[in-house]
Amino acid sequence: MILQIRKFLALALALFGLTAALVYTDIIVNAVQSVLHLEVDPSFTGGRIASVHYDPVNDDHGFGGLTYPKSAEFGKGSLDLVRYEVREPLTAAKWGAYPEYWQLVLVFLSGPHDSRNIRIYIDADGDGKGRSTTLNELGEGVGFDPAYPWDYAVSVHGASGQAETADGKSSIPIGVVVSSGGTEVAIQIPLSDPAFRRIFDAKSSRHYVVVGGWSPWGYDSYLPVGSRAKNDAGGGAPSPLTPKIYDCLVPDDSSQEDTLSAWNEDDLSSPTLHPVEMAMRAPPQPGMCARLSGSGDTVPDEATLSSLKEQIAVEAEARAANERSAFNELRERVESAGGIASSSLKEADLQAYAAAAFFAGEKDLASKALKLLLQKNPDNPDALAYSGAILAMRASDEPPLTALETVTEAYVLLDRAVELSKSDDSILASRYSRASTSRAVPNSVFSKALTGAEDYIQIASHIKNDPKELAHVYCDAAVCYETAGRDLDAGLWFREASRLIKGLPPEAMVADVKLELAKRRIP
Amino acid sequence: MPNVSLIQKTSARVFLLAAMTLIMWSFVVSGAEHPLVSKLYWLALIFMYARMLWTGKVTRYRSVFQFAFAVLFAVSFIGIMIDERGSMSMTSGSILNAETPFCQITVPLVLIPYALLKTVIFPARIDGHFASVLAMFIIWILSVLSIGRGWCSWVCFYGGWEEGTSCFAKKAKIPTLDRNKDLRAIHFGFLAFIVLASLTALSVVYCEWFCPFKLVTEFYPVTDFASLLGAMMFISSFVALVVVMPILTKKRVQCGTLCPFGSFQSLMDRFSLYRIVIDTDKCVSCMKCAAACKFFAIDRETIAGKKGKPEITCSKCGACVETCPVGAIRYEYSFTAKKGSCSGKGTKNPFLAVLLDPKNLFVFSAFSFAVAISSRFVPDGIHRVVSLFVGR
Repeated sequence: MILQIRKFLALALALFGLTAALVYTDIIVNAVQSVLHLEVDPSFTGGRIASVHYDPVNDDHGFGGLTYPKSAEFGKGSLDLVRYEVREPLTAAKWGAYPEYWQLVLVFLSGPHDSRNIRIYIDADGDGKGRSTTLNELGEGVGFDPAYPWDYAVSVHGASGQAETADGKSSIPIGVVVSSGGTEVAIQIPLSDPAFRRIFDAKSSRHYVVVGGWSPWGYDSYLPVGSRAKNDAGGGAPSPLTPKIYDCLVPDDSSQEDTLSAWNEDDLSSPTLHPVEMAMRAPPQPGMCARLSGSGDTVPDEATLSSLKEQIAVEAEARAANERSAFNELRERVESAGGIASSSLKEADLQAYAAAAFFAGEKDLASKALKLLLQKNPDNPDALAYSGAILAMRASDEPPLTALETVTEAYVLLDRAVELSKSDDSILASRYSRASTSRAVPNSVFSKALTGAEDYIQIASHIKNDPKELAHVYCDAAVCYETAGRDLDAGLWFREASRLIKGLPPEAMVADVKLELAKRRIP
Repeated sequence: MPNVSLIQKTSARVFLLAAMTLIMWSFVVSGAEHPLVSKLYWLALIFMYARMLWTGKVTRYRSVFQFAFAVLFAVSFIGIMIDERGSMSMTSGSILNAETPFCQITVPLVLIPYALLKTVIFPARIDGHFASVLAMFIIWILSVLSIGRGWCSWVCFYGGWEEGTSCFAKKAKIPTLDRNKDLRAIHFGFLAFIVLASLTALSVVYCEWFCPFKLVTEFYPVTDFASLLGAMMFISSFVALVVVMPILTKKRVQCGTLCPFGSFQSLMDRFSLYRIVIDTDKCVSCMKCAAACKFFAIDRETIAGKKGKPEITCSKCGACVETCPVGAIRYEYSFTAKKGSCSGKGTKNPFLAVLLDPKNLFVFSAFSFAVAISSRFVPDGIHRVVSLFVGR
């Protein structure tokens, strides 16, 4: 009898078990990874991350007024440095060009990479010896803090570069690996040359990182800047002393604009940059919070958290009341026109009604209106987007396997909506619907967190002059990145959200953003 | 009056064929990138499986399928790599960003370092569907629990090369029967060496220096003497072990003497559901099974010593089962297999007898597994080959 049962189990495994497991490999993989947190050994990937510095997004305007050249080679955001990572020096690197090297990673907002002229000046020992002028006189148009003169200078253009010592006695070619469509530049400094081996012993180092445009005709290969942008020159420079730097790292307590605008035409002095201190050793067990917030931040107290939670409830109530009143107003108008099925009701009005019902939480009413809209035009992106979002919401009340199918169906609608949307409003509606669904569904089952993050970043590019909305979007993107295991990207957008809410008035409704930041100890 | 037993047996076969057809449809045709090619491939698979079911002869169709899968996998994989990176060679970016495809051969080499360091000593994507570390681990665990080392003879998209080349010659020029035991010892010795070497170097030494299949997938760019040496190693090992030696011996030499995953699967095979057993009472010691076995799993001692089963490297390809002139060798469930005899006990209902026949279930599992793994690569490979001649 037992043998027969085992044979039937073997039959079931052959007929369904094996293939079902193969069909759901993605889900099993995500579930396993959420428990195991597997990582590739850092000896393959350039070493453990020792420290990260985030630079504000959209600050690629140098002293505050520089503009890009007219040439299409300078893509928007291609000179906008957003993250700088310092890795631990590697002694037994695998599968790389060098057996021992030190990797620095720069992340830019966008590509391409070959229009950049990157310089990194490093004070490795803090002994006060070295140089406090740029590698070539009149190159970038800045000077360095005399208290922290640099020991090594790294120059990178495109996918090649070199490193040299302050005394000029040693100069070596370095490895430059460009990836992610030109947004990520990994610089590998070989440490076999004795002149560079000091880096192994450093516990921390101080970095001046500057990014300019590259020009074959510019002095020191820096793209010249003038009062007006041309094909081969940047614009917006009020003085010949304007630094040719579009973006640079500055310490947290100072601003790039203040630093780079401090030239003086009377005594012909140039601005002085101050270094950013970077740790050279990774913390023993870098948890997510530590990686996102850095060390030394205090844990938020319970009172702060509960006060924020109360504030969120109040704000949500106020928002819901607004949505409801807007919907009621529309509902009266639609009913007076003969209801949603009336032929006199315009498609735009029906769409507005459906959207209002959706935001007011009237899922059934919204569904009816959306159905009518899709009957009239099956390729209506807004209707597809809201229908997809409603379908996904319904899955939360269903048993697991049915919910799986419902959410999959919902994504067919949501993806189609994103594909079809052309106008700004449609793009926002479809991306918002897909992004919020992606944030809500479990990533371990559907692997949609990354899609959500990318949707939020796309939404941000369509939001103009609304820092409150932008802060929400950045925060949501960061949460999605964090869920997808992309801690460094999450850190960047949490910081952007944090920067934006600092400029908002106290009555701005951003308690949910503040709570997310507080939970992660981001000031 | 039709024969009721025959009708029931045929119904069982039709049931299995229908189930396999559905599985093949869901993997091969549903959502396919190249619908026409995928449908043709689906029809070819149905034909193969139907022939296997009705004739009971699986070896010929298995060999054709596995060789075609291996070649088309290489075409598709290389095509994908060239589309993504512009070349077959790994790029620094793909290594630094941990985007190098991970394959099952690496599984035994990363296990012990993972247990010690909690990191994977291979720069591959950890999660995701295509060639990620966890996807390959899940596929490996599924294969261990179901078909065991049957993976090598039915599913492996590398082993298919040798399956094909070992069929090229009519007769073996180099007989190996008297060396089978030594060759098995070399196989496990090499596994031990490569696991220890990988642990010592904290890098997958097999991939770096030995894997012959880099020639048909991806390799390091040749930039210095060490990478040139590595390239010469993998090219020469492909030519010698995957082409020349299988032709001369009619054996799968690389699979049987070098592949770490093969020897590791042999060790793990005890957890699988199926076995090959030899009925020692029926066996007439003709040694035809030993000649047919491509994995060095049957030698004189196996038969003379009345062991009742092939040696540990048996990959359940079924060649011995078909070759045996007296029907002394057959598939069994691991929980019914007894040393030296075939249980032969089963249900009296002919429908269920066919359905629960361990051979039928093993072939169903192994073939559906292979189809699932091949489902995107084979149509893509055919499409790429056809595109070369007629344009896209």
